[in-house]
Amino acid sequence: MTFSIDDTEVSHFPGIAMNYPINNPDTGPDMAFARSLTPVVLTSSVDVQFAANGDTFATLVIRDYGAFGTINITVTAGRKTYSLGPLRLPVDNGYGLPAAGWYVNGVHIDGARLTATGDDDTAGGAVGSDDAVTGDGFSNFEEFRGFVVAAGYVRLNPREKDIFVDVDPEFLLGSAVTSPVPLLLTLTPRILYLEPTEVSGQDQLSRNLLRTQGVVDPNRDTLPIAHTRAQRAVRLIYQSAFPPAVHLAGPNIDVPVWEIGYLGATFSDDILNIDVLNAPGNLATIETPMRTQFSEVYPRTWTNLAVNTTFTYPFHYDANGNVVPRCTFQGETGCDFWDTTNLLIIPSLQDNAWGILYTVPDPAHDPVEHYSLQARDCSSDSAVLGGLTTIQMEQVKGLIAAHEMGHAMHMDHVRDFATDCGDMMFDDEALPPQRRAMSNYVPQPSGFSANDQAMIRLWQP
Amino acid sequence: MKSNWSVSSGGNPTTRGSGSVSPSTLSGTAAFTPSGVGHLTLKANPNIAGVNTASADLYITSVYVSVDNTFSISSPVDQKQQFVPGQYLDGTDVAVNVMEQAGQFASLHILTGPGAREP
Repeated sequence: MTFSIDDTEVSHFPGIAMNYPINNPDTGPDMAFARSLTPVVLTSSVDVQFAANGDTFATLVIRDYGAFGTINITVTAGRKTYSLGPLRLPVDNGYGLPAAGWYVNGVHIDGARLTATGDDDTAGGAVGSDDAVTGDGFSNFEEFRGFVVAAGYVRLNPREKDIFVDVDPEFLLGSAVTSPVPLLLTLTPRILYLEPTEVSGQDQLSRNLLRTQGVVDPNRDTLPIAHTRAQRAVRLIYQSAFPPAVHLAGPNIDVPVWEIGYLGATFSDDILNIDVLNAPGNLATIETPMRTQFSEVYPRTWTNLAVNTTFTYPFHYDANGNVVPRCTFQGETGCDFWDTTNLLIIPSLQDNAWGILYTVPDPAHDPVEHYSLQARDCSSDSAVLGGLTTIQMEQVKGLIAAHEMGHAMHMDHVRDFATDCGDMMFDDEALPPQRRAMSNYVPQPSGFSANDQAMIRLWQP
Repeated sequence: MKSNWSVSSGGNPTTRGSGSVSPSTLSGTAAFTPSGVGHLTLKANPNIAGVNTASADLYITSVYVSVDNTFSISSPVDQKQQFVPGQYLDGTDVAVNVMEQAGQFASLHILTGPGAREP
């Protein structure tokens, strides 16, 4: 008796899952027969002697979570040869997916009406009349074949959106308030956290950026797909050492973003020069994950915006213990500006655009002192004495991270101060110093609003 | 054309099938009832001089897929409708290292003779 699988009738998908392995995925047949089991030796055709007990069998080895193949069996009895089959495994639903469906976290997915190339995830809070309101960038077959996430294997629910994120550990190891994770939990789509080895990204060495444009379904060759573009992870980078610059045309200088007050930024594929944000050719566009390179948070900015003090101690010091002079006018150099009305020490702005804060908090002399930023209240648009508290400053780290990740999901700013102040994506985009943005206002958002989620789009042609 | 019907099996004892026909004499049609998997020959003899007996060789069996390695020839169950690559019957997934190294094992069974029963 012969069991065989024709090489043209078995899948040869790269790897064993959509993102595993990332490097050198095998493209051999995804089903084969075992010629022996110790060790496992595979073959496309195996001859088996009739078993005396009447149970003649062959062992089929499956090497891919999305494997399919057609098996032929021929029986030779006496001088006659009979063909049994062909047998297609798994049994197809008529649209290229298993009739049996599959399981996601113990919940059965009914695959009866799903097509392999569909992308049918429900809107999940997205609002609009465009096609991309539904779908998460993965075909139903990709969701069935599954992914390796945090070293474990998962299949996806083809009716609920999934978003993969690749977040630097600094955002996950600190206190909860500095992390975007609690805020991401307010999103309707399911968030999946990838390990660095589970995404196929590009390293951009000019700023030591790792895994940008990180594709999460690199093993998609020959698969039923829904979109031409591969899907990417939302990549969040903790950028402490190599921030980008902004070119200032007046003085014709490049200034690091932390000296201008940038807390974070998101780079779409339309940012061709990632080193200088406003370089010629760069376009600030809001794209889906498919066309977003990465998002960054700049921790250095947190120590360059303001120091809250009561001004009860007459001297203020820099990091080396030297007294920092008080500026007498904005633009003066080598000193800090004292805003005694709002109890803040702030940088003296150079070229009306950038500045360096020399003063460091000195709680030994003034227990109140901490890094702060000039803040206002949403209800009255009036200044908050002393700016943000210590805990609020920490929360801004998580908020900015979530805000930038929102951009990577196609969320634009919401700009109406009257209705949007306090929203995660609030920014009226006015020119400084009139600009009003989420980070400068209290109360701080506790999550993404319905308006934010209405803008989510996860794929594009 | 009316014929006498018969069933016979021979050759390898491990692959002999069995069955019966009714009616077996002088009937234009007959119902064939398989009773044992394996190889057998079904014959129709018209009892007309110069007209040969017609025969058909049959192999009575089916392919059974076993995902969970519990196949029994006395009570065979086909699990092909439940088969999903990389997944056990209870819905849990085969571990990544298993899929990567050894792969998931399933077995294909053909009932070939004595001791086997149709489901």
